[in-house]
Amino acid sequence: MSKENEYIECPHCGHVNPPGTQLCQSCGLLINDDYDKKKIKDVMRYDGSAVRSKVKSSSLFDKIWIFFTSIRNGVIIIALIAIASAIGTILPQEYFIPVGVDAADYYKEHYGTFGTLYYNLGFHNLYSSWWFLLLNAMLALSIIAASIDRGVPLFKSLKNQGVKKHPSYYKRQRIYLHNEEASKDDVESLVKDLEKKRYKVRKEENSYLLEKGRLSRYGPYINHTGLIILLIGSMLRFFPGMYLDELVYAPEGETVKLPGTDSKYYIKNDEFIIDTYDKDAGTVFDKSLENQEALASNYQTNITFYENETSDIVGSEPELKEVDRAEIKVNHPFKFDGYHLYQSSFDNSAMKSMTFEIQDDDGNVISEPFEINLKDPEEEFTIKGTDNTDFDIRLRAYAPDFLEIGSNGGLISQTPVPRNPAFIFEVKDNDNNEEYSLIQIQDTTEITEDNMYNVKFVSMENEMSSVLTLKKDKTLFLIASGFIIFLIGVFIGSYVNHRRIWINSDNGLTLAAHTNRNYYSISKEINEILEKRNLGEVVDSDSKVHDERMKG
Amino acid sequence: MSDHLFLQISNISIYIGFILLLISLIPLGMSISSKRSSKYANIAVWIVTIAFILELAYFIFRWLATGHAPVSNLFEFIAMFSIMLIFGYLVTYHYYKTKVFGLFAIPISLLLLGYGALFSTDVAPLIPALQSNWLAIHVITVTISYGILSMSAVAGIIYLIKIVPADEKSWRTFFLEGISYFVIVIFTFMIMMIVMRGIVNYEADFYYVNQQGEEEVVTYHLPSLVNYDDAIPVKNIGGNEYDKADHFTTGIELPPIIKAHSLNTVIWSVGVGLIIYGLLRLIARRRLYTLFKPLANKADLNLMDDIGYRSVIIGFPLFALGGLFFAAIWAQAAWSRFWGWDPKETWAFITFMFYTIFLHLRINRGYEGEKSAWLAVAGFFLILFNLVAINLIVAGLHSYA
Amino acid sequence: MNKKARNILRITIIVGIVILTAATLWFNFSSKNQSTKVGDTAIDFKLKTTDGEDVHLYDVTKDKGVILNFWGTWCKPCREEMPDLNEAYVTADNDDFVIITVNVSENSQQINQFLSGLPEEISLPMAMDKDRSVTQEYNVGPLPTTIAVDKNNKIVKKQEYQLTKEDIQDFINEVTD
Repeated sequence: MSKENEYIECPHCGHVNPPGTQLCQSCGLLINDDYDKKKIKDVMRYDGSAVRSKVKSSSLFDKIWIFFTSIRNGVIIIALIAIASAIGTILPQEYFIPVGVDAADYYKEHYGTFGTLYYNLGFHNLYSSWWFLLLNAMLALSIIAASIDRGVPLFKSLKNQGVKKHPSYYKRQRIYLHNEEASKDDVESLVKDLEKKRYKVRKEENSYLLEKGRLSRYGPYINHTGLIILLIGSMLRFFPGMYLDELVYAPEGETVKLPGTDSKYYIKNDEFIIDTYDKDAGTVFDKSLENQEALASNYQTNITFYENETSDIVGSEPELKEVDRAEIKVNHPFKFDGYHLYQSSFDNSAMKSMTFEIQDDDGNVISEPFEINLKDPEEEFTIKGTDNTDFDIRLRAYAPDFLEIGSNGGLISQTPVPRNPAFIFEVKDNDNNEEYSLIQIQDTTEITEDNMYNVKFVSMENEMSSVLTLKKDKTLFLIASGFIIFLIGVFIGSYVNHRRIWINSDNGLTLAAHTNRNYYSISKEINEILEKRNLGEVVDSDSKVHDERMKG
Repeated sequence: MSDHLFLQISNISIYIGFILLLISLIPLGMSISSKRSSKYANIAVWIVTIAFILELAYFIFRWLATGHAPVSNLFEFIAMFSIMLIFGYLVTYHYYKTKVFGLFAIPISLLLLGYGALFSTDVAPLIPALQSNWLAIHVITVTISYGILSMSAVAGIIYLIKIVPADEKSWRTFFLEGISYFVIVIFTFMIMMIVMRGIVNYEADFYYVNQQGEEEVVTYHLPSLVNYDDAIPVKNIGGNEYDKADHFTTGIELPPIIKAHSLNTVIWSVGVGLIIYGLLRLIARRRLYTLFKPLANKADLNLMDDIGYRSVIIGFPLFALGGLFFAAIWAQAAWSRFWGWDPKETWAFITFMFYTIFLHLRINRGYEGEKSAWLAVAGFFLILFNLVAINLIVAGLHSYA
Repeated sequence: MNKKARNILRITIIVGIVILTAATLWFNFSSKNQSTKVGDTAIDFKLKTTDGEDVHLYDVTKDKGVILNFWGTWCKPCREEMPDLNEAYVTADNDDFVIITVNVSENSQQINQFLSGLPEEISLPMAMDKDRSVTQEYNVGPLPTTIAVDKNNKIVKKQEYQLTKEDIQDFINEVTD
């Protein structure tokens, strides 16, 4: 009777095995029949090593640990994460709704009661919600616990495996052959032939162990390590200073501060360029281009990059020193100091300036045009008229987003953004006649009566703004290397197979083989060599057992 | 211009490839029933191989014509997937010499290609976000992995048809027959589209106001059973001008958050499909999947289970590489974030987790055989969902259509 | 591995994961709920006023309490409370505080247009935060927002939306205690 904590000495070869081991690490004799046969159907899966020692006097930590070593529980956690992820796709997440819109309103307005429910449950920010993070933490614990529990004994077992195996071990394997007529020479040539197939050979007396692809067994543990590194990297994203993702709105010609850099860096949008595909170029694309508006082939922002030499107090005037010039194109960001500045999109919906001119009552133009900046309007213009007159135009009131006329005659705006500008102009001619009018979009109201001079709208210029994304990511290295290690582990574990062949020449030829995958292929490999020397044939004994199980 | 010539060669190639694949089913079928099975099997595989080469030619010439890898719109992507299914089959045949397998894999590939051809097959130049080598690398690797992973579903379907009894009353017969119904719905959809758009030229325009408050005109190719709130039937009188018209509509209206015209097509397909299914059921006098039992019975269950497992073991790492890793690299370069939890990425992640579960369940829990077959089939539907639903239903940065 | 070593390993891993998870949840939670609250230290800033003068917060708080009023001309409650703020400042017998208005994002034309339309003359310093940097640092949401900063640069009171005359008085009391 093996006690749970006792090391087991093998009665055949004397090797001392860790508690719970089923097959002796050295000679493979079944030394412990007291294992959970429902959970462990194939003793060779972990090479007969102890997968989990069931310690009766479990502390809370032991209970937690054992819970997380279970593959079934791990699968449940994976399934929960998958289902949770799916829920996050039912309605768009918060970062996909238009910028500046209030989230609660948006979900209610567009998706009704379901939307409000979604919002109240926090699903609009599902992937950074506390319970999603918690699920991933549990996944990490599950990966670690399950891997240590299986990987360490497996490693020890494969490291300590002996060459000489107990006869029962040979018979236990799915591939087994015993040929009494074979000679020792036959066996030796057999081993040499197999060696040519890249097997590493170890010999002990009359026993051989041929092995290749052991790394394959560690594949899962390598990929699990990669996943843990990836999860650590993802976790660090929430730690301050590790990650930044900000939009930069840069109107053409203006200098803006880069957010999140403590006022250290500024850029000036020197020029925004957009190229579109030519519709009638005679290329194969003509037909599909006809059916849509101009398709952009390239857009880029040319910037001047500045460093602020006095960036200590918020709001203070920066002292900018030019550091660099760059062309930022889609897929080709500008890099500096660990940051990346990407060309994301552009916006030409904002109004920049309006141009007016003065006309007489018959619609004749009687002055040169004047342009007024909508964000920082000039207060006075002196313009030349026809017939040697000059006009003095003054901006008496202005609202960028006109709402109503104020009680004192001024213009009230509903937002500071030039969306619906309104102006009260005073027009004074050489004879000091003053006329006033209220100008809105497509609507002029005379304030003084019977104006001779009509301020007429000529044109409007939209402001072209580049939308750039500023990113800093110190976690990228961890996440990337984590996933690369994961991929290496998964490819090694899946594409390479671990094969071992035990051969003994005491009594003719005794041969047994094991692989972690694809018995069909290893049988073929062995049979090829056996056939050459007419030594017999191996068959995967499990294929018959397999048949019975397959019958539903 | 030689570009035009390339495009023509490309279109002809895939057309002939399609026909050849249809033809290949004949010797393939005969190889199963006849005594000289290997002769017919060889002929069949040769025809399939030539068809595959032609499909590759479609791909290469289209690339030459457009200057970028032809994996940038929905049709091209579905075509690529369908080609990779053939690739998957050829690889499976090479290892296992499975013939029954082909009788299931090839029609699925053809059905998919036919479905894809209903979408715009025009070539379009790339918008700036798609101009990157990573586009080709990512999409090609993903479609190869899809092709291989799908083989597990083919093996699974054969397994289930063989093993699920014809006259049992249970969940598994229900779901298996559900798959037959699903296939009929796809066929119905395709035939209706070809008839209504290509032959009858049914076009009914409706004017409505969409989710964003913008005015839009949508063209219905099937009589309107459901429509948008306050939709007005109109007809185009040139340019962007529309006049009121009189089109059939039941009057049932839905809020613009639901794409009513897509839902309309779905309702038609499901409904007419149900009728056709009913008719076929009446004629056959038994569940439709049982009609395929004679074929499936020729397959070896062990082998199907093995193929099911191996396709996933080979395809899964490729999917992780192409669908997650390469996709992340490309997304980082194009959109400055390698992972954004957008619907397409999230569902690729879910697919990844699904196959992870598949592999882990097979380790300890004795999930071989029937349970594994069901999982494999479910995985294929998950891939289809990724392909169709996300692209068509959920608009966004990532969708093709 | 002997039992003791195994236990240590298990406990370390479990406890380690719990701590890291807790830290992550904490950072996540606190970054979402960022806001200047009573008790926080007021961040120093330097802005120009409409008269071209500099306003440096920490300089002012060396000898006086400061009431910051974030506002804009498009915001009706801001326009309405401005005369009240001015009056409270001008008529107070206490010299120990100053009310600084911080205009969010507008140019001097708009501000002057608004001021010239008022019957009374405003003597409050009118700082201009054209690029919203101070507004963002203070996580100001709705306008108007009024924040009281004492001589130790601590935020002692914060109120969003329009202030009544009583409210203004409360602010003055807080900051001159």
